[in-house]
Amino acid sequence: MTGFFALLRLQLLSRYSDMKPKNWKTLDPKRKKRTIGMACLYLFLVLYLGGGMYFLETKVIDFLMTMGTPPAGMADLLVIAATAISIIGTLILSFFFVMSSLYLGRDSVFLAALPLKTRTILAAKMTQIWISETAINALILLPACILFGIKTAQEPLFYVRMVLVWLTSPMMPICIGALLATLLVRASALLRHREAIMTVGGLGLMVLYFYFSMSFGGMMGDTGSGGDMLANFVTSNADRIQGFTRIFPPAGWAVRGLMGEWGQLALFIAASLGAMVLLIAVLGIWYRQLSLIQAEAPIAVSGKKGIQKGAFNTSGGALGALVRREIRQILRVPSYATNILPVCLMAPIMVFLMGSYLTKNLGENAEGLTQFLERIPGSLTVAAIAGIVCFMGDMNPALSTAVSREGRGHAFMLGLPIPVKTHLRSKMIVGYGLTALGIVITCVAFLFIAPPVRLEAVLGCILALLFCYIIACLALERDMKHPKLNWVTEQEAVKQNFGTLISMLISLAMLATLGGLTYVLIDIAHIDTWPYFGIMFALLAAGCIFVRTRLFKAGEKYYYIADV
Amino acid sequence: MIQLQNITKTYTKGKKKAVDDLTLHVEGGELFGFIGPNGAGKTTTIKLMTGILSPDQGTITMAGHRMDQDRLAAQRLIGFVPDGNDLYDRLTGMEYLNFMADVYQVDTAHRKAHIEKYLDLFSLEDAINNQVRSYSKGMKQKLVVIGALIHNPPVWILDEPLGGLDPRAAHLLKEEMIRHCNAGNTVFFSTHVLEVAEKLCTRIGIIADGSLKALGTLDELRSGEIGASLEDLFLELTDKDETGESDGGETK
Repeated sequence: MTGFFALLRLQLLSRYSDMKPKNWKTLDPKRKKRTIGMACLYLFLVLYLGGGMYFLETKVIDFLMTMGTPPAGMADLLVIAATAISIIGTLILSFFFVMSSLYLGRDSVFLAALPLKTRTILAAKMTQIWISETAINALILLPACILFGIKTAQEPLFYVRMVLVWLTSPMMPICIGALLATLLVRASALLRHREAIMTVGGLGLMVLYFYFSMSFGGMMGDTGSGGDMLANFVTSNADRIQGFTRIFPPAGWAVRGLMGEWGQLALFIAASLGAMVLLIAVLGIWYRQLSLIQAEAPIAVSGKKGIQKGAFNTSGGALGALVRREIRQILRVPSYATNILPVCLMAPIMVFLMGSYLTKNLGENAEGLTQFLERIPGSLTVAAIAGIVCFMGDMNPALSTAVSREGRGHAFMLGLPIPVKTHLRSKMIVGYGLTALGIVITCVAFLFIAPPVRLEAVLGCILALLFCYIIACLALERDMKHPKLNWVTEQEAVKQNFGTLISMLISLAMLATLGGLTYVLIDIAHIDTWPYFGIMFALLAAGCIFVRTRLFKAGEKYYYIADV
Repeated sequence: MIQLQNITKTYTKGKKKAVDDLTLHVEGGELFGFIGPNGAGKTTTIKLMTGILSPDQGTITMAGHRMDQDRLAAQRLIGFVPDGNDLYDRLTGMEYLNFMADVYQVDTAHRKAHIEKYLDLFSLEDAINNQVRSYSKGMKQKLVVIGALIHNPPVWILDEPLGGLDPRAAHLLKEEMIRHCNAGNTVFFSTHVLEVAEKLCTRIGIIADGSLKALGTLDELRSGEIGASLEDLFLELTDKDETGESDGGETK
């Protein structure tokens, strides 16, 4: 066990050493600012999510009540949604983190040389992943549960159940992630472009998993009652739980356990712990070998030696060269690919899949959904869709780490005869291009999910494109002024980058401000869809022009100041 | 060709002078060796010359183009080989060379001729489609050299160019450097290997604590009182306990 704890400590220190307060008095002012900033940011995130949930609980429920639906136990919806979202969210978003932690780190050879059992190494890595995911789930699950507990005067045992569900919530999702990652590593081990295959294959596997789980869940669920699905969803907790957890049924055990069914809670905890133990026991047999294969640098397969035909094609100057290099860098460095691509593309693909599934399975409930959507003011629909898409789009770390990712190569780039504007343009084309691609996919998904609000979906996505452009410019400007260039592993460049958190903070603050403006425009001024869109479009477009001008001006001043 | 006039560069908010009032002129046809102990200011000087850093004071001119006024034009004249090669190791060798050729807008015929010539010269053809991270240190250095020279620049600025190269490749590169100078161009390189500087350079500059301690041809440096060996001169000038000045060459 000594080896396990030593290794776990090493893993945690290497990942979170920047956040360690250490001896506060001896910290240099820069570190102090950073630590305070991190604490403020996390506090802000908790308040933001808590506030968002409170808003949902009050405003949305009030709205549903005005529609004449008798909402039974609507406060339960908050806890059900938060629990299901945290577990399923872990399943979706942690996959690439699990894959990069287990197989794409640079420590495989180092660890293999230590006198440690393979299972000890795997157990330490899985524990570190579990700790990280538990911390993230705390942000979503705990505020909702505590809010619910206070509002409905829950007994103390509710909080015990809450802690148990919270601690075990990431276990099964990360085990599934580890299994899928292992399959991919084994399948791509001998191939030259294995990193690209793992990234693309990872996305493909997740999409397939959700497609089949939704199809399977659909077959097993009670969808053919002919009753009003929406009404059931509003009035029945059982239907809500089934609706939310269809994609990953064990999440249903957790939700039911949290709501008081001890048997379901025991089942969830036993399954979670069992999954971890089984995974470490079984995967521990091959883990060392597989991680070492992954550590080897790929070489060209035979027959591809020497200069290939077409190798000297010219391309269109520095901008094209920089864009291609940037894309290759993101696709080929697993830490970059696994942090950037899923955020941009995963969520839109999920929305698309769910949309397709819903469209296929709504049947006679389609009319009810149409009536429901048509009763919501168009401007509110535009705002809601824009808000969701913005939230998904602005999490892309491609631009908040764009200069930092250059690392020590940044000095070399500065020595090339390339104007600063071209550097910045290439980064915007790739970073913002990925965000825009995700937004377009989401827009298409909305068109499938909700035909009655097609126009609103398009308008909402246009606003989101503008909003994300502002965030992209600000994120790049911040990273240009304060790049983190002295990293050792690429993982540090993206995962331990304060700029990513800062840009998320800016984005959340801007979203909150625009949300306030939306409230004034829709709730107080009662303006309609087109005037609302016009005002927001004008505001955001002006913002885009302003931040773009500011970015290029700042580029001339700061791009060459970076400590290289 | 290269003119550094009263260059000063400080780090850590002005607390540490990395380069202190450095003036240096290197003409066409010169093969200039820049030597000094670790932390003397060699790499900072090279970063200033290549436009990576801006000086706090002074001007840098590259074949008539001032770095602070016409950076891009000045940089186009330079082929720069940096110290250490942590460069884009996920690109293949060929992708890296094409990237450099695109940046310097080298047309297909020229890039083909250049790449084929140097790949053959450095025996790198078989590995050119592999990712750079699979290369040894020497192979990476060869690749960086090929990339830096792809646009046939009149000024070569090489920071420790021979580090990691096998004896054959080092010999070939030295020959190329001499040939380049003989054609009227300029090569400025830093090195820790005094024998290389002695054998190759038409002029040598010795830097310590950010300022130029000695400057001249090998013979000029040797003619001083300090001694006949470059090693002795180097040790004498870079020893912080000593304050003596050399009469050999142009000393400061």
